Amino acid sequence: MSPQPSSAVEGAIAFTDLVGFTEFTATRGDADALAVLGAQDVIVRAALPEGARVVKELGDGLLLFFPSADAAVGACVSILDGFERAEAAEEMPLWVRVGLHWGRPSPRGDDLVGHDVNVTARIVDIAAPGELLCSGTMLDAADAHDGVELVELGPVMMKGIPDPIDLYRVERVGADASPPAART
Amino acid sequence: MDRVRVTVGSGRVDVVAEPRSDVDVEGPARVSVEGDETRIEGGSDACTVRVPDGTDVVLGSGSGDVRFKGSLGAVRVTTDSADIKIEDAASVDARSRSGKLEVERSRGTVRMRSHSATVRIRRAEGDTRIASVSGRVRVDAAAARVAAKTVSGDIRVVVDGPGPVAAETVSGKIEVNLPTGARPDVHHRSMSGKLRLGLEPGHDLDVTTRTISGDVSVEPA
Repeated sequence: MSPQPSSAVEGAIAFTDLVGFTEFTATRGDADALAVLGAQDVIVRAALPEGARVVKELGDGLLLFFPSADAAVGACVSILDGFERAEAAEEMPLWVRVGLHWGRPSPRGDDLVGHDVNVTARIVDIAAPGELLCSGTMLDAADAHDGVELVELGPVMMKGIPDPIDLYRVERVGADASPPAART
Repeated sequence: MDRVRVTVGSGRVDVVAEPRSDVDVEGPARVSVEGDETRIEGGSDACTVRVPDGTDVVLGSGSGDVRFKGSLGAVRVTTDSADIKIEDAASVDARSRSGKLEVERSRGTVRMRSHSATVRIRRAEGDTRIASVSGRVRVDAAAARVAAKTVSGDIRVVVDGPGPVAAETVSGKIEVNLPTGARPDVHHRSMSGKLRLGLEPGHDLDVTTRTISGDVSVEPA
């Protein structure tokens, strides 16, 4: 890989994705879709720690940046929690999935670009609804993994990424191992 | 029990569990041992990995199809576009972006995730969670809890145990088949999908369904 520009910033990159948003919008219409995006906005912004930011919105997805690795893991778990609570309260009809990676993306205006952003996009691509997947690089950068359990998913080959990425599923400690009921 | 970790690109991989005490690799691959883990790195050529019965395997593949034969331990496998087929495992965590996932039997927990291809489990004996976007989800015999989520893919679960079953989809159809005579406690929520209940309600097992527009049927197997 070519050297990174000197302006590259080290930090955690996260992509969120609302699963089924396109189908939901086609079925329910733009007004309901906007309401879902509004609910997502509230959940995500409430979970963001100081210094973190929403880099951009990509339709139903968000690109997030966190300067602190430990705070990034905690915030992404909080985002999943927020969606679960909203789903239980019938305020959120869709599911979210999150991919998290540590790297050195390059700023381009307010945006972030580069290999590590692409890797993060690939990670969220293979996450299931309600899952937070993160790279081994991300876990190496985080000092503490308090309150979460890490399940190794192994070396993952991703389209367009030359080297395998070690991937982990992040779960809350004590999270019920049984499947959650959809009932509210 | 030692663990085997396999990384391959486009080459097909067969992992065969059999009565033996060592790990053997047939085909071009780099093999190293680190602690109690045997690491195998393949490339674009097919290879066969022979492991002792009950071995835990972690495997990552790009486009090379993956087959697990025999009785394995915990299997965790991720592919980009390759199909995954697992004969018998203590537990399964399998995911693919576009590859088809098929499990003959899992003796423990199951997590499976695909984007566009079919996900099928013939017999799930542990708690099972499956997610797909447009691919169909099918569980032929669910002996424990099942939770299935899709966006547009249809879900079919045949219950062969106490449940419960939770199935959610945006626009796919949900079909839950229960043992004849079972009296389910069905909780259905949908914006426009219809529920067809072909069994007397009761409290034998919980069936929870949620759709945006997809129809649901709960009927005898």
